[in-house]
Amino acid sequence: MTDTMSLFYALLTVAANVAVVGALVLVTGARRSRSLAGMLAKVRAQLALHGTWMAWAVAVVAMTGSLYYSEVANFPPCTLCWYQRIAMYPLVAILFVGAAIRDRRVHLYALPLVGIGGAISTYHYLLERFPDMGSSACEVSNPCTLVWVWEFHYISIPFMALSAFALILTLLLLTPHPEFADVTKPSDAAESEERQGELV
Amino acid sequence: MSTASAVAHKRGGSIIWILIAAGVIALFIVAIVLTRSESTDGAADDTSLSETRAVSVTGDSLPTLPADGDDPAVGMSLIEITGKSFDGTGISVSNNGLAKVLLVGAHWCPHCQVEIPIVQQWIDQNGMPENVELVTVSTAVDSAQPNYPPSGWLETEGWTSPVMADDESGTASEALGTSGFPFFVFVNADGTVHSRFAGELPIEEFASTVATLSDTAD
Repeated sequence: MTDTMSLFYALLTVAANVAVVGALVLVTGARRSRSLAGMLAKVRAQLALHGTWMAWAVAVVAMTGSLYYSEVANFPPCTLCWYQRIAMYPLVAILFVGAAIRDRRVHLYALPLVGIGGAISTYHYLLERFPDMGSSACEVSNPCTLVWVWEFHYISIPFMALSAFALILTLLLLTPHPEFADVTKPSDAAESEERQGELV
Repeated sequence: MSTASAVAHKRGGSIIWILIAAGVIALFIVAIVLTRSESTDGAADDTSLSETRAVSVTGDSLPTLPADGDDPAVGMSLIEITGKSFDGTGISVSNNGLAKVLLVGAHWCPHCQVEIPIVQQWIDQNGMPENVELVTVSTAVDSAQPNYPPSGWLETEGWTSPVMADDESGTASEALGTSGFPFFVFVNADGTVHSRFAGELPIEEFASTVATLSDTAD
């Protein structure tokens, strides 16, 4: 079962990588090609409605994946895994609330966590590939250099986390944030209260 | 936005979520199909080998190697360890008049995976001195962890030195005061600890320590 789930998560990781690379191509190509610019506009129009929810879905999949590995497959999380969890798990709550109340500032709350988590995932992945970066010895129990999963010659668990952070980053940056709601302005405050009323 | 375009927009949004869900389900089905075909291709395991064996230790265990400072185990008498190799052949580490190098390693440890072939290459080129014996202790065995089984890994690396399979609780490793993998214990011919080292040991340092043990053993 663990092999199946690892392959499933690896396939999702490949899909996330394709999405991020596709977004990069679209953003860079939109400056030179009108058709790509039109396509980017359509994508951003959809993301205006669903972008935060999609980012939330990615965070949920990442969280359930990490819980599967630790609680079902019994792969104990190492220290760096815990740091990545500390960055990923709050995103599930932050992005859910942000999407539910359509908070136009949600990316401001989420991006620092995404940045920190992505940086730790990158370091962890490099440590797996180049164990000498850390120390010349493996800890007796559960070292961060231990590679539990290795799929398609490049995907390990920290790389899965890195891909999730990268996709969340891409979704949040591509989602349009026209202007921030300013609760000090009467009109925005009224709109904010109206939204909260809708949520209740 | 007109009512008609708003409805179309909403329908478009629903289609996106349906496509995402369908894609995820398709990937899950692909994963099931691929792993099922892999599992039916697997070869039968060699049941004559056991990756862990009972180990008995006589004497006081060596203290854990501290991260810094002097090693308190230097000069202490080595404990006597009795166990078996993967195939059940008896192996003991005792004060038999020979100097010793004890190499404690774990199959999943990437540093061990680097060190083992380097040491084997040195042995292939230079050979161990006759008055120094090298014994490996395979410990921290876990079938859920990578590079399992250790017997298969060491065979693949062409490892020629005798290997003692530690028990599931790592009795032999703990008795040697292992602080990290790979772990080296260099023992003088009189049975006292010469030095210990945790981590990848540069092969020049390994060779010079082996030469020192050999010289003092004569």
